[in-house]
Amino acid sequence: MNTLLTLGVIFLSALVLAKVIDKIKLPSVTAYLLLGLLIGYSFFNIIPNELIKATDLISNIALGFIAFSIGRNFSFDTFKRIGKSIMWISILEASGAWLTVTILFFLLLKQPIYISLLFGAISAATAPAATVMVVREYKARGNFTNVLLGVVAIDDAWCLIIFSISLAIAKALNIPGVNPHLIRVIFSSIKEIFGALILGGIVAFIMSVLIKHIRTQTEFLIYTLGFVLLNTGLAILLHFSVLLSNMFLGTVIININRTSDKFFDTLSSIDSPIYLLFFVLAGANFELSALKNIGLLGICYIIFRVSGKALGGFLGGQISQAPENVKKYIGLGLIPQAGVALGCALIAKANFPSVGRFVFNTVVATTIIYEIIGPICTKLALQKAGDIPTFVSKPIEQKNI
Amino acid sequence: MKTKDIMTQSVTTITRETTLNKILDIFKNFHTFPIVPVIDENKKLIGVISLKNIVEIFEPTKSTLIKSAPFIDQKEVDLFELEITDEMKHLCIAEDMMESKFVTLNEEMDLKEAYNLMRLHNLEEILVVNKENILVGRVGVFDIVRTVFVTKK
Repeated sequence: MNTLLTLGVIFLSALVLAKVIDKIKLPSVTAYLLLGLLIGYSFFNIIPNELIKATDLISNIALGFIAFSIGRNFSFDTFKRIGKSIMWISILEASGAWLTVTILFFLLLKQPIYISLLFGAISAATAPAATVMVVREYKARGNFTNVLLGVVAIDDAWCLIIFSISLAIAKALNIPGVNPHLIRVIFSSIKEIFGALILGGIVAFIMSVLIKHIRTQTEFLIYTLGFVLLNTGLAILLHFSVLLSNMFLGTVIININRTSDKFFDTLSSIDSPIYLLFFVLAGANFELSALKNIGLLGICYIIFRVSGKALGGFLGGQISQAPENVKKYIGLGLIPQAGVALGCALIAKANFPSVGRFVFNTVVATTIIYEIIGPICTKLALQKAGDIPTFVSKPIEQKNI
Repeated sequence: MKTKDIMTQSVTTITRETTLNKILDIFKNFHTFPIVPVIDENKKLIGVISLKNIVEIFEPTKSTLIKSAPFIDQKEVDLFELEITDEMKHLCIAEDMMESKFVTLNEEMDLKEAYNLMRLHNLEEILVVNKENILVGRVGVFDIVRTVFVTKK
């Protein structure tokens, strides 16, 4: 099959598969990932090489979009509205997973520190799509639901920050032929992180100033897309963090421009096909033969991540004096993992060609498990917290005797 | 010609404490729900409420935070499936529903510029403020179109 024919088949099959998988109450992203697995190396291997080679390009565009969109969360308005429970729980569950996985991988599983850091950082992500689906399906309502939705929405922002810092350190620790030196590691990491923040900030200001020359919706779309791609490309060229520079672009623009919602809404009107392709390619890049090497490490990754999230979530609830049901069950609702984790794993694969493949394959394999058990656990958490109505009360009918 | 020359000065406003119940009552004869301005004690415009904000207020998966999360399968709110009680309508206030990022026109703005801005943001109507951000009126696309047609001879 030629590349365009394959693309057509991918888009249409993904659409059908997403509808089928919707019947068993799983999000579309799971369908896209499974489609990628089926047509990729692991099973039928019918995906053309040109498309596989485009993985880096597509994932950089998708991650640029994701990071830009997540940057919107850090507006003064959001911080004013968001409760302290969501803030504390999200920060501590994300860093709880990061620290637990990193430390235990390094100390218990004797993995090199840079690999432990990568696994730890990826473990911080959660997948809001699965949570939203369960909440909708069971019509969950209540304080626990609101906290859970807030936490899964903002959690990816913390993950991107944690991952960008960890990746910068991991890269500095692993320069070929050079012994890691503390000062060099610190300098190199700071350059990558702060460079990204300065770049994102400058691009946001230019974007905000030049907007007055835009007249039509079409121009607006091209303008927004152009700036996000420009920022992504410059970050790659200058060896800054793509994730942080785009996230900061989103954060600065939302805070300095009163009509900035338009930038995000415009981009979200065209991001679906890019995200679809991103998931399909992530699935297609998975190597089934790698499963036998993942074994114990994969199981440990699942257990450590869930424990870290539950512990961090409980601690966050304790500090913010959240209700008892939030403290007890929030960890159970934070199990799904998908897009952001896969994106981070693809970046790890691109930056560390040999071990990165192992990290990527482990994250894909565990994502499939998380996406299946995650929604079940989320439902259980909502049920235990008392946010899923178990019966509908009806007024007693009065009869005239 | 400037925006202030054609704007309607009488605008129904609410404050951040106005309850949903009160809003439903104020606009009961409107047929089409307008963009409702939320003003503070100094008449400064602090937010707007549209019909979408009212429909989505009792759907937790439509919160602002969730909107910015990637990969969410967007679904319309089923109006007829919403569970709304009287208590909720009394407890929910304008501040919970309003959007604080919105487009406005300055009263001194040239009509052509105002028309382009409304087209760019795909707006049928828009609120007009003065330079202190105090609400002074409202303009619809038709007001501009009509003015152009009437004044051209």
